[in-house]
Amino acid sequence: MFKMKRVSIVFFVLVLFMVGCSSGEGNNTSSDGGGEAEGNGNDVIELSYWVPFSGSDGEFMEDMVSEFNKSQSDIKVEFMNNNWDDYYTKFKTALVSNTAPDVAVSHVSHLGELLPTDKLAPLDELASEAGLDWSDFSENQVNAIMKDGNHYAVPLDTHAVIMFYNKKYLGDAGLLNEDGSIKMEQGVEGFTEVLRTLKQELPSDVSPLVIGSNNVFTFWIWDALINQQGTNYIEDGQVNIDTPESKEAMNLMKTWLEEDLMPEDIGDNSYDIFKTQDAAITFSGVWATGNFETEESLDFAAVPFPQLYDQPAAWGDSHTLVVPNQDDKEKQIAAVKFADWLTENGHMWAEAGHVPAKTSVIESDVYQSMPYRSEYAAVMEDVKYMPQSDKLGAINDAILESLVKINYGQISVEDGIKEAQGKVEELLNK
Amino acid sequence: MNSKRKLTGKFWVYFFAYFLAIIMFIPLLWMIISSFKLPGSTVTVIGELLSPPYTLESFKEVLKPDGTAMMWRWTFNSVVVGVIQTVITVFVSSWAAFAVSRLDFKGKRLIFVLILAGLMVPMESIVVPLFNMMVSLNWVNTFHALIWPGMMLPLAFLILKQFIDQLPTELLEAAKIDGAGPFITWLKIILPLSKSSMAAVSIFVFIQSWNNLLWPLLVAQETSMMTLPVGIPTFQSNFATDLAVPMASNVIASVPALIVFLIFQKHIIKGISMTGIK
Amino acid sequence: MQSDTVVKKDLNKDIKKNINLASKRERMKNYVYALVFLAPFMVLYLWFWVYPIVQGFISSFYTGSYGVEQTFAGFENYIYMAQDSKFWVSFGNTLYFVLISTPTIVVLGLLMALFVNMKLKGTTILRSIYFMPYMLSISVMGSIWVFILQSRTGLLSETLKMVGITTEIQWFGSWEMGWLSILIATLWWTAGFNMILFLAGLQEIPDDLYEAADIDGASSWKKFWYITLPSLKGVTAMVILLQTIASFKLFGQTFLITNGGPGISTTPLVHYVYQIAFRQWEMGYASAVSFVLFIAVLLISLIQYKVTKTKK
Repeated sequence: MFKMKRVSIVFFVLVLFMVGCSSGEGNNTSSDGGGEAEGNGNDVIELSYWVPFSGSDGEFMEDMVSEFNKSQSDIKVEFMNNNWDDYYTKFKTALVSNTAPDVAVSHVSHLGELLPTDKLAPLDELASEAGLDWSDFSENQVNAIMKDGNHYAVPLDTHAVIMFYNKKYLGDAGLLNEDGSIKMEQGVEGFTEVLRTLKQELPSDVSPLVIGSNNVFTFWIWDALINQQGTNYIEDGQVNIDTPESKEAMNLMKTWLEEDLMPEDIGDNSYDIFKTQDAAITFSGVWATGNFETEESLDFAAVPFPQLYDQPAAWGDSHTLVVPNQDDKEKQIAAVKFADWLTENGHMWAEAGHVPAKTSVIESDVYQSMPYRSEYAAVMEDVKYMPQSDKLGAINDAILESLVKINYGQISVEDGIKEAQGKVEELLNK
Repeated sequence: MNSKRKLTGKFWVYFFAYFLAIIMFIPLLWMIISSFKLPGSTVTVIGELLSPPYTLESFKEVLKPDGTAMMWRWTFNSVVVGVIQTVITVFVSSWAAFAVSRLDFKGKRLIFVLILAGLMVPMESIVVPLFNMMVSLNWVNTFHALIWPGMMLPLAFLILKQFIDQLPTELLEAAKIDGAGPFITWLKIILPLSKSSMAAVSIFVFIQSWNNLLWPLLVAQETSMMTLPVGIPTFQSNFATDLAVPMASNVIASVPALIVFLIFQKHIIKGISMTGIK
Repeated sequence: MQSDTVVKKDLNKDIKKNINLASKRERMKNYVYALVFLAPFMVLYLWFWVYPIVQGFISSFYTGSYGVEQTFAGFENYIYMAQDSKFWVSFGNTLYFVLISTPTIVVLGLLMALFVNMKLKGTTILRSIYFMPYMLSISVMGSIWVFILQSRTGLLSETLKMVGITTEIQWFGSWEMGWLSILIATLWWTAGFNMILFLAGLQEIPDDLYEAADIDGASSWKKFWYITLPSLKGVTAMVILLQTIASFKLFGQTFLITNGGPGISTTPLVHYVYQIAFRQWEMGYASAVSFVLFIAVLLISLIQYKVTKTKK
């Protein structure tokens, strides 16, 4: 017994000692990093960097970070990829608890949620010290990151949901024109007819279409479809979900599910199902391009999201880089330098599929010679951004929940749309 | 005839007992075999699963130094947090239980009731205020945040108190006559006697800590501060199609626990049953 | 519990006798000792349990997004909760899980305990296998079951395809199936723990009860029904209590396996609290829902206490 006691006491002391050390370490890297910077100017500045690229674009960003680290010796960036679904939970938690990374990616649509915390640094002064020139970016991109006359983020890219199709399967079904484009009539019926033909012509284990019917893809496609009909879900601060256009969009998706034109309940596997050639068509993000390209046997085409209603529209958003507040200004300047390098080398990021933010990069030969990418820049003109709100995350969550219920037949289209309207109204009135 | 019926009865008992065991063992076995397949192989297809090559490539992928997984660090964190929580909980509760059970002072009843009430509060219901507290203490992303909140103090207290209550009064009286103060009494009598119930409580507390997901999810944001329950899903979310590498990480995370189980099996089982009976 | 209070009463008598003899100085000394012994516990307990409970209760009367100023709102959060359909759904989900998990875990745990207690050949192996899943980290358990059950690419789906069954079972595709998946994973993971509790109960049954029954020529079924089962009442009550409370605290399984979906089909209370607090950033409302969770667990514990008390 006494042996056990002695062992446990020794262990206890040892462990307490370790806690002392490690927690001290933790404090240094996070809030008050003053101690390190005071040392001497020659030290390498270490930056922690968070991104939400759990899709397939994370590897491309990882490569960029190591490229950046190799390109110079003053700044060392430590990269941390996070699960997309929980990213803003984690990032905002870190912001309010003053443990945020030195630089991080934020979607432009989420800035409205993050800025009210007053934890993001205005970048104007830092940018001029880091040598970042705002005029390199297009005007509407810069406008999107301004608040009260200050710049709060560095635009990295724009991205959208587009259509990918398997050329072999569409060819087999006799649905390709000579130039490789899809033979189809305009509008909803034309597209659904294409899916029906595919179902008839292809082996039974190949789905005509694949979309995540339980995840954010459902939301993105609903958003695109209502925008094609000329509405948006929040207009002039009013919730505008319970509309004929919303119901039309969900009825269409239900039709696809019910006629077995797309598989139900595939979780987050839509990328893989298309990649392993178990589906002929998918609606997915431009960022999946680089991932699909890694599968050599897959012969695919990437085209804009099809116009099924009155006007072209697609869901889209934009990645930006933000710099959280901290006392160590050296680090913040380094962070802006890093952000500037990322945008300057946007052609590397474009390998994942994203459209770079800097016009000079888009016009460069490197970018123009990449397959598909040069056309993506045109796709961006059709992109409809989500409405601005400081509760956008919660609103989108609430809408998605109802849409998924509709897809899974837990609620009728009518009631599901009404439920979403009610929930979002409550959120906005709170 | 009777013995024949008994024999077939026995057969069915054996059949069901082992059938259940096989069913329960399959997921574990699958995990282990999958982890020895090449990264990217289709381990869900049994034909492919059972055909060579078997390699350590998936493990190398998990453990490569510049990768996103920090398996050893997460295991270390989980163990450190678990051990410290356990040691503190058990000793601190033992002292308090001794005081409430065997010392006489005013307000004893009140303290007892106060602690008893805490037994009915699940930690999950106070994570929001606890998180706010961590923010204002600047403890997010430190071991402090992982360790101090959520220790199962009331439960440990109650179990140990009930045990100390049952000790014969004569023992303590004898110590008193010998001139021993409460400190000596605790050290020389209570501690040795309650060894086994303290071990039982320790096992309970440690398992609880080992499996806590919600709390570290909130306060361990840096990769280096994560515990296993948080680190594993974070790492695995990078692998959509590939199951071999995530399975290798599962195996690495499970091996220490399974070894501990196989060595201390008897103690663990005894520990749980003692905590249960109360 | 009853017998403990009896012991304690006797003890109190003893101590009272002692006090009458003790000098005032000694009483003072006792006070100091008690303080020293209790201080570490009470500091931790007040700091990390009592204070957050009070704090949580107070903040349930405030509204406002996190990181922004909070304003006093009276009972607004509680009124909102009464009308919040998602709250009721998640509360219902929690109760549903209590309903499906408790009986199954009792039966499975008991069955395992009986098997292990029968002194079969290889008992140690059986016991180890039954219990082993409980030693896995919750995240390992979660990922294994996702990989087994996910439709199209899961182990189960591929295996069924191999034997010629091509109908897809959507394990995460509906309210019923989602909960069934979580139930299966939970049973696999924790039945072993409950087995140990039952096993302890079985070993407490005195042998002479069975011997007496043997003399009377009772069949083994009768022995089980009239001796074993009644003797396990106490353990069963405890397993039920533990499982009920565990269901109210359910978070990891739904977070890791179904992420609460599809829609909100498999979102239990704690998961909803997590979403309100850290996705919607309504700390006040999250505290209010937490408070309901707290009251629910309190009530269950009290009912359980009452029931066992009257039984004895």
